[in-house]
Amino acid sequence: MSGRFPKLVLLPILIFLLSLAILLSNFIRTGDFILRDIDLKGGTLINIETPAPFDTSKIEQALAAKYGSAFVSNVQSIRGYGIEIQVDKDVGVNGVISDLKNLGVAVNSFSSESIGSFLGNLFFEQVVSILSIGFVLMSIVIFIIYRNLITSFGIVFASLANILTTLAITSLLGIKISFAGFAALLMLIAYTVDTNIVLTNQVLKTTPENFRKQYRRALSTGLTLISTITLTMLIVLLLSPSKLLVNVSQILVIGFIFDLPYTWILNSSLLEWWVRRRHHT
Amino acid sequence: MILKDVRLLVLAVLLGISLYFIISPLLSGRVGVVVAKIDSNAKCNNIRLDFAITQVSATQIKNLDDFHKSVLNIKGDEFVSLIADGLPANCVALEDGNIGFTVAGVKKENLVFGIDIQGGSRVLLKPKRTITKSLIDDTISVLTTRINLYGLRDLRIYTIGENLIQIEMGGATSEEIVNFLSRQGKFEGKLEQTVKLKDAVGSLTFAGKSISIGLSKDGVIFDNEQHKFGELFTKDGITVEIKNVTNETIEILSTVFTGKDIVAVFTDPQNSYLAPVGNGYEFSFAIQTSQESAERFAKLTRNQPIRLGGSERYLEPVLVLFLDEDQVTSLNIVASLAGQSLTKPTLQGFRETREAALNERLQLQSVLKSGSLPVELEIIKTDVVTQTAGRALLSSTIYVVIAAAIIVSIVILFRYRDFKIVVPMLIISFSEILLILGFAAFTQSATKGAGWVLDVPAIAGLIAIIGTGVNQLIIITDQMLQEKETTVRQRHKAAMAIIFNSASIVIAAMLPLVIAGVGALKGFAITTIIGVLIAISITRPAYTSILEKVKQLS
Repeated sequence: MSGRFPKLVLLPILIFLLSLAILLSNFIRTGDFILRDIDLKGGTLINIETPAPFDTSKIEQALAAKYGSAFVSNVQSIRGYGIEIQVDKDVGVNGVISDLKNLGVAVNSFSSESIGSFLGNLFFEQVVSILSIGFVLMSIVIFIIYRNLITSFGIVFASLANILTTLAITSLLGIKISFAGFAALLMLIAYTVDTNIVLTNQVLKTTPENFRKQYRRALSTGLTLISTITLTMLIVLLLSPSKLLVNVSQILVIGFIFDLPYTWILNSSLLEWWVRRRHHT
Repeated sequence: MILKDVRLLVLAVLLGISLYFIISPLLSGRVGVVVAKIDSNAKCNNIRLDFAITQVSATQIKNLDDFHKSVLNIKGDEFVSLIADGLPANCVALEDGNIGFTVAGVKKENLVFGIDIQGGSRVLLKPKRTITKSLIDDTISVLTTRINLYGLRDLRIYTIGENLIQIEMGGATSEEIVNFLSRQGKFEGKLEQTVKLKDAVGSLTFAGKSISIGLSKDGVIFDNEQHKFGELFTKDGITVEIKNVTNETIEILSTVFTGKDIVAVFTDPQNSYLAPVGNGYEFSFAIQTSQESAERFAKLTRNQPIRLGGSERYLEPVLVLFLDEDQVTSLNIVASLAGQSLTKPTLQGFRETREAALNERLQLQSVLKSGSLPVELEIIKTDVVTQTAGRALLSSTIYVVIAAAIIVSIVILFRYRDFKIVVPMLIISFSEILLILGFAAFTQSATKGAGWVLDVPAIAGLIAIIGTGVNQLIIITDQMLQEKETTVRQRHKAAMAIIFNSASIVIAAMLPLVIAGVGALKGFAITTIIGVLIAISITRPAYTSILEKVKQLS
């Protein structure tokens, strides 16, 4: 193994390249790398609590006939049933509510959101620039902490790769990224950096002979971290009626899973190579 | 034992302070409603701002509803006895349903939840043209004046980005309020004359003289001057508009006064009334206009022809009042007013219910008093959350947090198989939540309600803090317990190095979000940063202390 990378390293590299390919093909097909939710694109969204699941196809057809396109789906949460209606155009909420009443849907409690496409695009540009600035600031702090190009690069690359893969997977699964989704990506950066710091601090000062032992210690901490936080987010995902919290948890769960190959295979191999090289010279 | 350890002592003291700020408003025992605004012409004794009103006439007042119901039945000039801040007080009602002051509900907590939790709506307004920062500030000050005049509480206005204005309203809300606030408030009073044409020519009295008017190929000839349809022009110092031109009639609108001419808006009972008429209610109130506009009125009404309406003699033209280009009132002018200066026109309106009439009158008065917005606003985004939906969210979030806490305890118990580790971890995580909530309550208490509002993104931030907080505690535990070959001091240092590195990185990643402050996510970023700061300075050091003691490391 000395001086070489283990074959397993090919796995994260392959995942990374595949993610890039997915994002690129999204861009070529739709002009967008990811699926944007209405708050980053423009449109109207209404959530209604209902006593029982509904035949949504009738509602969908009626609304689509009137507004061009409409998506209606049943949602279920700890609180009971509900339907979610999404119209791509920025139409008045009250109009849609009265359409629903005409269709025989009892509307008692609802929440709604509507946003113009101008504002949607403005928000999108803002969050993209905020995420980019956040990422750059974070990279600078990492470099100041470690004052070492290789280890800093390892951490920064692992988090960047993790973000890109998470975005690629969400687009494959049809998960739309909302405003809050970008907050989740910032949390994901923080989390990925955490596991990478645990790894790096544990193995950086060690000798090549002790590397495996120290790696296993870091890994046992890392696996505890991932299991607690993934389970927490799964609970939010399954139980919360909040669209915002669900979007955050979906993104985080995907991100946590792909943190495993990037941190514990790719970055650890880089660190092992670095520890050996430093020891030999 | 606790008192001897500085880290634990700090944690205990701050937990106490947090609890105090969270629950202190509940302990103060004030319930019901407080005086929010007193009319300048109120006839009250012992009523001051912020006094708690507990009784009106013989009715106990427990909430806003009680107050409004008991006041609704009070007639004008009626003597009303009250209990304010525990002492007897009294008022003479100014008019039906108005005892001279308005009230607001007592705030029962320092923890203030966002409209996405307590219900309400959020509206984003955008100026119809690009304007400077100072014009935005002017716009916000006009909006704030309107809100205060109208007596709305629980409403917040912010700027977002360069020139967007966000209004958040808690509690019951309606589109009506939004429309009221975003009304530009452009007020005009115009003399309306309808000229009958014969063979495309007619005549009218303008500024005391008879002049001719006629149709031409692409417009109107007004006193031998050519004007286009709909054109605004000045004639004898008066702005004139030509409208609704047909082959038989032409409408001439001459501006008498605009918003700038309003000197005062009357709300006292002598100049403002409400009465049942037909199947609804008619309201009216007078405004005082400037001397220049009074002279314009005199000039325009001189020598106007007279018509009969019932037993009264009126001038043929009518005075029409417009708000934002919509006609509000059309007033007949008594013949004796011709050529006189009019400084106190009256606005009238009609609504089907008493409440709607009162509301409309108050809205008109507020808009006219606050003046017009420097720019027209358009609504570009509205979010409405009904209170049940918001409450459901909060209660289910509490379930989610409890379920997450149980799962996390199971995982760490499985990993460490030691209650001496798991129990302190849970206590510390719970302390972190309490300290963050305490800080939120403290900001509300210190700023008297303008502090940190807990919305759904802030709750998401709280969940993130619990999640990463547990992570950090696991890292500390592993660092402190595993490395048997180094000293406790070294292990402690290594653990803290990881904690501080990760905290500074999280703060760096969140900082742009706080500074740019895009909409809802600011709450998330602030929660995360405050949580991280509390954790690294207070709770995590305390945890290492507990760990050192229970595992007898030192």
